[in-house]
Amino acid sequence: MPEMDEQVLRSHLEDGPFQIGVERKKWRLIEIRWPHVFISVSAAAREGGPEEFVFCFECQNYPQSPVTARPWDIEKNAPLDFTKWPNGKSRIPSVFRPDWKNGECLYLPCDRISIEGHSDWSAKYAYLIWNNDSDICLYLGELYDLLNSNDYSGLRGS
Amino acid sequence: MTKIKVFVEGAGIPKVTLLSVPEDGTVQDVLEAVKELTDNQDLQVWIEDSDEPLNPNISLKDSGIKARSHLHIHTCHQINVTVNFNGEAKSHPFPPAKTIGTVKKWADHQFNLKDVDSTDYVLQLCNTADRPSEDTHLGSLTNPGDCSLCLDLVPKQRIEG
Repeated sequence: MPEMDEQVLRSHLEDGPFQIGVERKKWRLIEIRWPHVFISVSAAAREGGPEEFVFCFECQNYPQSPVTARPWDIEKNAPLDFTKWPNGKSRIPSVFRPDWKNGECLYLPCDRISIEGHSDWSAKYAYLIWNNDSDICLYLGELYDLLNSNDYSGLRGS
Repeated sequence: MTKIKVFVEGAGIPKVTLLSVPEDGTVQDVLEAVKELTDNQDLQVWIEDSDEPLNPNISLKDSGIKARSHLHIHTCHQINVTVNFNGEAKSHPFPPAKTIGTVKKWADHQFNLKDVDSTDYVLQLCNTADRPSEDTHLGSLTNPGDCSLCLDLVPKQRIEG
C-alpha cells in the first residue's frame, strides 16, 4: 500500500482538474516513480522547439508540502540539458534559470525549494502560493501558461 | 447499463469534477448526478461555450453529450460580468458556460489592448489573488444564486526578488 502522499497524488491525477488538462491537451502523465512524477506540458509551436517539455516533479509529503520540478530528458532519464530549456523575452527566463540552484528547480513561488527565503512572495505573487487547497495543477497551469505565451521564443540553445 | 464520464463545473461546484452518467440517459440524469456535488435548486445544463441551456428531457446522444464532454451547471441564464482596468469599468452579460478566455477577448477589445499588449494581461477575481485559467467557465466563479462576476484586468508579472 503506497504512503498517504503517493495515494493523494495518484487520486489528484485521476480528478477533474488534472484530467480536464489532459483532455484539453495541456499536459499528460508519463510515469510515476515515487516520489518522482514525470509529466509533459504542451508548448506553443516555435522554430526548433519541441511540442512538449517533460518535467520531473518531486512530490514528497504531497500535498502538505509544495512540489518542486525541473525540466527532464525522458530518453536519457536525466535532467534536461540547459541548452534545451525554454527561453523567452522576460517571464520565461525569470522562471527557467539554470543559474538558480544549479537548475534543480524552477524559480516559481509555488516551488517548494524556490519559495524558501522569499517571504515577500506570499504578498507579491499570492496567486502562485501553495496553500491547503493546492494541488499539482497549480504548478502545471503556470507552466502551461508560460510555454504558450508570446513571451516563449523557443529553446535557449537555438 | 453503460456509464460515461463527463466533466462538470458550475455554481457551487468548487472544482472541475468527473461525473458518471448513463450513456443512454437524458440531460435530467446529469442533473440527478450533480446532486452529489451541490444542493442548488433549479439547475440547468449547458454544453461548454453554448448560449442556451439544454432541455432536460432530451437524450445525451441527441444533445451531443458524449464521454468527457465539458458541461456547465448553473441557475443563472446570464452572468453580468464587469471588468475593471485603469480606473474604468465595462460590463456585459455572458452565458455562464462561456469561458474566461471569451471575456478576456471581449475585454481586450473594450480596453483597446492589442496583440502583444493583450497577452501581457490576465483577468483576476476582484478582491482576491485568484487568476482563473482561460478555459474556466464564468459560472463556476460565482456563488450559488449570484448572477454577477467582477474581474480586474491586471498585468502578468515577471518573478523577481
